[in-house]
Amino acid sequence: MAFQEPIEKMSGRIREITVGGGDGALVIGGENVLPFYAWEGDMPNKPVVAMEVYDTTPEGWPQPLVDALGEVFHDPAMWARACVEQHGADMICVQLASTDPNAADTSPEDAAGTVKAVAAAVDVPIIVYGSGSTDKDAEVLKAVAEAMVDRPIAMGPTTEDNFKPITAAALAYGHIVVAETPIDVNMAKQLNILISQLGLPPERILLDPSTGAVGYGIEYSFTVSERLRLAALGQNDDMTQMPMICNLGKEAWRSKEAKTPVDEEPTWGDAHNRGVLWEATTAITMAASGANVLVMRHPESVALIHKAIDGLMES
Amino acid sequence: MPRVTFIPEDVFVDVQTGENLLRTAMMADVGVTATCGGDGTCGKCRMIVEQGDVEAIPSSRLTDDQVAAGYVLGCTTQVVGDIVVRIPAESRPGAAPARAHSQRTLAPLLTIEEQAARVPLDKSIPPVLRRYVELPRPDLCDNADSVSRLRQALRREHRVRDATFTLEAMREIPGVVAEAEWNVTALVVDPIGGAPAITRVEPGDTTDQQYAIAVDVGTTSVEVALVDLNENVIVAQCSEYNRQVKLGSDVITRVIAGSTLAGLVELQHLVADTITDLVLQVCAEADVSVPDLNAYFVAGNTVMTHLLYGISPASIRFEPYVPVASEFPLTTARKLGLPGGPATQVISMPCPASWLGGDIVAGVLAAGIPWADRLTLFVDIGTNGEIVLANTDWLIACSCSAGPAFEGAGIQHGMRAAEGAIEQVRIESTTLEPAILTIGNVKPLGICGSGLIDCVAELFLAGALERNGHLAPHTASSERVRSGERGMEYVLVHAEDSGTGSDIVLTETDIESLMRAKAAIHAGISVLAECVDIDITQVEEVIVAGGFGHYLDLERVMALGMLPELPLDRFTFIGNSSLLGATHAAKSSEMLKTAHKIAEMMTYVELSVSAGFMDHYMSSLFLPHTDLARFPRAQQLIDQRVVIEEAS
Repeated sequence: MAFQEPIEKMSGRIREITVGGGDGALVIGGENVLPFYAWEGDMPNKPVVAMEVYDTTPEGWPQPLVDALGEVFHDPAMWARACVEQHGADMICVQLASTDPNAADTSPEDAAGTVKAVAAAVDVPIIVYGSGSTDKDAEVLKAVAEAMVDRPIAMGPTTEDNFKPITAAALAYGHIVVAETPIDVNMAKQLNILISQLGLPPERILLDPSTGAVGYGIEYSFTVSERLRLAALGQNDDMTQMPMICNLGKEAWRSKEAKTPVDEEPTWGDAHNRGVLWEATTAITMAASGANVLVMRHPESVALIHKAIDGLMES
Repeated sequence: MPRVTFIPEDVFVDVQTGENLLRTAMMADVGVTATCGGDGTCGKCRMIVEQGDVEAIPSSRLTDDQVAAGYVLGCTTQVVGDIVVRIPAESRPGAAPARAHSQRTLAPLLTIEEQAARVPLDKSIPPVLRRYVELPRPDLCDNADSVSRLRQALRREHRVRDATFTLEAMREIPGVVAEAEWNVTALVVDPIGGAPAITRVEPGDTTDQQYAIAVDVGTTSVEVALVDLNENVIVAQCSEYNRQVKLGSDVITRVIAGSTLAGLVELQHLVADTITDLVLQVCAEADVSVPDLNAYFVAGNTVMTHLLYGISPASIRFEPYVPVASEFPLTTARKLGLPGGPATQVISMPCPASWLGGDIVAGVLAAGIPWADRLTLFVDIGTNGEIVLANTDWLIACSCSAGPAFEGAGIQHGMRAAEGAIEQVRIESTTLEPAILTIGNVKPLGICGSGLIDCVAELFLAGALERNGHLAPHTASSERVRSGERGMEYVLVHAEDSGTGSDIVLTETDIESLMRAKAAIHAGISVLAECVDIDITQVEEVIVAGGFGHYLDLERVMALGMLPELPLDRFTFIGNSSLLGATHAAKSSEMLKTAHKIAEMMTYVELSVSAGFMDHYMSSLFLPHTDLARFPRAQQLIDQRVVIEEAS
């Protein structure tokens, strides 16, 4: 008898959800296998990259990022267009960092204006992240949701402390929420249940289980994400079957290995390649743990990841 | 047992003769308004007895016409036989739900007879007992010394072999034999391993007065029972908060406080004082002379036992978390500052591990686990939740910190399960109007553990709580929900109905405390089951212990996700099993031996180094659980209510 490769059949499937609207809408998720396990089932949609666009000129970013994107830093719409047209971004992730009450504390209306401008510049799906300030995000995302009523977006982070107002806004204006929890399987599932109970269909929830960069606890994030996928696929657990988004660009570029210039650490080698590889390695790790959307920063790491994912999908 | 059927619901329950009718209605889950705690003053719990007889105290709240029509107040009426009772519309907080003819089964506290039946009948004598002997007088032919004479007589008449004498007892002999002409009573202490000791000699026959004190030293509460060793019964019992609470409410802060000599001395005095007051109280109640007490039998967790003996528990806090001792020497009450005569002994239950003490050994004994040939889950719900999974061949146990919520401490309006404590709560889904019943049917003073469980479970089932334990936004429109000093709160009793003159409320912080406590217990159970690779549904009996009131509504306990969902008939609510086990040991040396055997057999699982515990804890920190599929009945209960709401 000929040898047959053992096949592990999963009972569950990740929800297939549509992000964005109109011609630029993208479908993500839908796999009934662990990432890239093409021989055991199907993975109809490959993981995508959402490139970050900040609402204000970033300060203190490492030189490799300034070299690649410095020219467009001052204008979020130009930045977004550059990402899509020159660097092949599948989605745009608008980071509303300036709304943070501890930073510039810009108004929800300004934030909504920025998002609208970005949306006007590109067709691809838009993901909007607030600053992470619980109360301010609720106000900001409500304004953004209202302004974007004609074009569905995904917005977050929605946490246990502000899921009610943000979910209400998503319900009212037809958007997706990004549910963020601090690297914990149970808490991720609990937040999904709480959000669903407010009446938002599970097809409109993206799961952000949080992540660390390579060298900063990525093993732990990997395990948590993988366990979420195992629960979703192996146990057919309805409340973990949301596609996952991984907000890793900021984590990777915050690590000292990615941002230290070569004159400070001559033995670490070329800063440019080091930074790009640090981000790309973090991203491919998270893709392998089951992320469906990778939020990234540097065009060269994005190109590397696209190439890697295409390769994995073909094999 | 009388059967009480409620119409129009057509639900029946079987209750003890003499059961309160309002309580019966609550047990049957029939909606009735009751705001006074059951003392008959609010007059709202009117019911019509349509068939059968009851014993009702006449009430000025009822008109003559109503009485003639069969009206009674549920709270002042006792069930004496099979009856059919109609709940009139005016006594209902909401619409009557349509329910099929059904029985509701309950898990009331085991009766004294049922508790006794859990352990085999045992003819052995108490480990500390007065024995009367008539000694032959010495003469020139029979010139053996007095001690040998007494030893011989004890062997001949009571089969006490190789008795040793304490110096104090020897000193008593000359006076006693002279006074009582060689008719004497000896106090025989028969400890585990070693020869019996004679610790006291008294003139004449004093064996008609033989009493021992059983003590449960809990972190939060201390309870004592006065045991009549001649009659084999508990004659008086009472409890109080452990006065050590003023130095910290949880075990760890006590350990820290007990790490200095001054702190250790203070803690020892505080617990001894607590016990002293309780002992004086029970002895006064039963008219027993304190100096004549035979012995104390103490069951306490390891830290509490160390503190009572004045031994520093400091090492328990540091890796590798070992206590000083697991067995404690025989000593006298006076040495520990407890009331009694010079020879009153103190015997403690062995403490197998740092976080697994004599209270659990006593509990396992009282639950009858060593004799029950089935897979048993024993859960003692206190400040520390101890869990034992066992059959006759093996015992595996763990301990998790639940906090004092179940004992009513650390809760804004919490109290012990004493008179005036709200122990049963039903909440109507649409109006959130509660019906409450207190221990002793008096005006409510606070909420005890079982009332807290009932209240939170009811709020959850009524849809007033979100799964994370927060009050749902829609409840803000209810007049029962308001914003208080510590966040949102639910008003359980208005000031005019309470015995304290102010509102009794349940805050979101209280709910959080209960959530954490129940999550710890459920996580502990999950870890143990995983350790021995047993599916929790294989458990044949679940024994729940703890100092709750008379009732623990297990359906509610399960709806909270504290205990695994299993058929209700597998549950037994045994009450304070630690005290019960100590009582058994006081009555029988065989039982004391079995307790030591239990301690030796127990395998302890240290949760602080268990990789799975935190994960299970987080998934249990949700109502009823993150994995909703494990609690299908809780979901059914919620759905039932929703149907009722839609229908009304």
